[in-house]
Amino acid sequence: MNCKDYQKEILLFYADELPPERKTELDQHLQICFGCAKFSNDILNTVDVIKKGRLPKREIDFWPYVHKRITVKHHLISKWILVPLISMLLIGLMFTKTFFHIPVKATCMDMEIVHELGMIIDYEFLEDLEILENNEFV
Amino acid sequence: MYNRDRDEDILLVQKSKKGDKDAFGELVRRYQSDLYQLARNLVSSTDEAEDITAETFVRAWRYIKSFKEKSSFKTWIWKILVNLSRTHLRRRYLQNKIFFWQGFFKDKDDHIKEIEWIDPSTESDPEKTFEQKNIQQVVRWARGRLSRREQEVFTLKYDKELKISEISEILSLSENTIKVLLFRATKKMAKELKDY
Repeated sequence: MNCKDYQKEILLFYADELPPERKTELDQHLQICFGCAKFSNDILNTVDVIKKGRLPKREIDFWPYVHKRITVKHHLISKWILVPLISMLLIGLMFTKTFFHIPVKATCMDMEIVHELGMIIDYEFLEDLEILENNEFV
Repeated sequence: MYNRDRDEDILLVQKSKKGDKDAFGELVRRYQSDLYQLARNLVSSTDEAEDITAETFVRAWRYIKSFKEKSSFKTWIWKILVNLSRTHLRRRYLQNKIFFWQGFFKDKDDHIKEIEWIDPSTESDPEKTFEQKNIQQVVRWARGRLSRREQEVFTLKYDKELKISEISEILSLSENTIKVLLFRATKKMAKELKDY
């Protein structure tokens, strides 16, 4: 065993967890190892300060409050029913709107523009065709 | 430290499972003081510790029928409290990060309540009261330097004086892990408290 192992045993000793059979060997080591002896002293002081710094017990009676909480009956719909229900309604609404999407009716003005554009495209096509015919590429 | 009659606890638990609120009330009275102190050490705020302790008992009542009694009632209820404390600390951390909320730091009233948390036996001696306040502040500050897990192990070992096997059961960690955490926590505390 090295000093690190002995230091772990020192901690277990102060935590009342060290098996009794290990105590003799630990004591022998502490007599010859200055580093571990100092470590042991530091831990002893630390545990002492920690015990002094413990918060004293404060008595509060939780039962009246707990009793009220466990006795009150909830008349509202349980959240485990309400939340899934609302979620399903919202999803259903979104699905309905998407699936049965009604396209926006074009305005007369829009139709006119489309019609005019169509005529322009046709005219340009015919012009090109004439040019091609004149050049005998057709 | 815990000298509860386990057989009595078993009887009270069985009555509580049948809906006997008085039996459950008896369990609450048995464990409320220690649970509250544990909560107080884990979350560092008196108001929050009260909320967490109360919520622990409410949850215990709600789920008592599913308590299989493989472990003791004490271990079971402490596990609920530790889990609630973790949830609370996680929520506080996120609030602090996301909303830059300084709720992590105690407000004036909470600070005053903590100063008032003095051992009644020393109240007549102002010097002892001052010394006690000082040491409590120092130990609390040193605890704050530990990681969450180290704090839990440290609190359960040095404040509640539980065995490593009991701590292992409450925190659902192996005994070796508990020993490693305890070793680290104690070394850190020794470093912080070396001047006291």
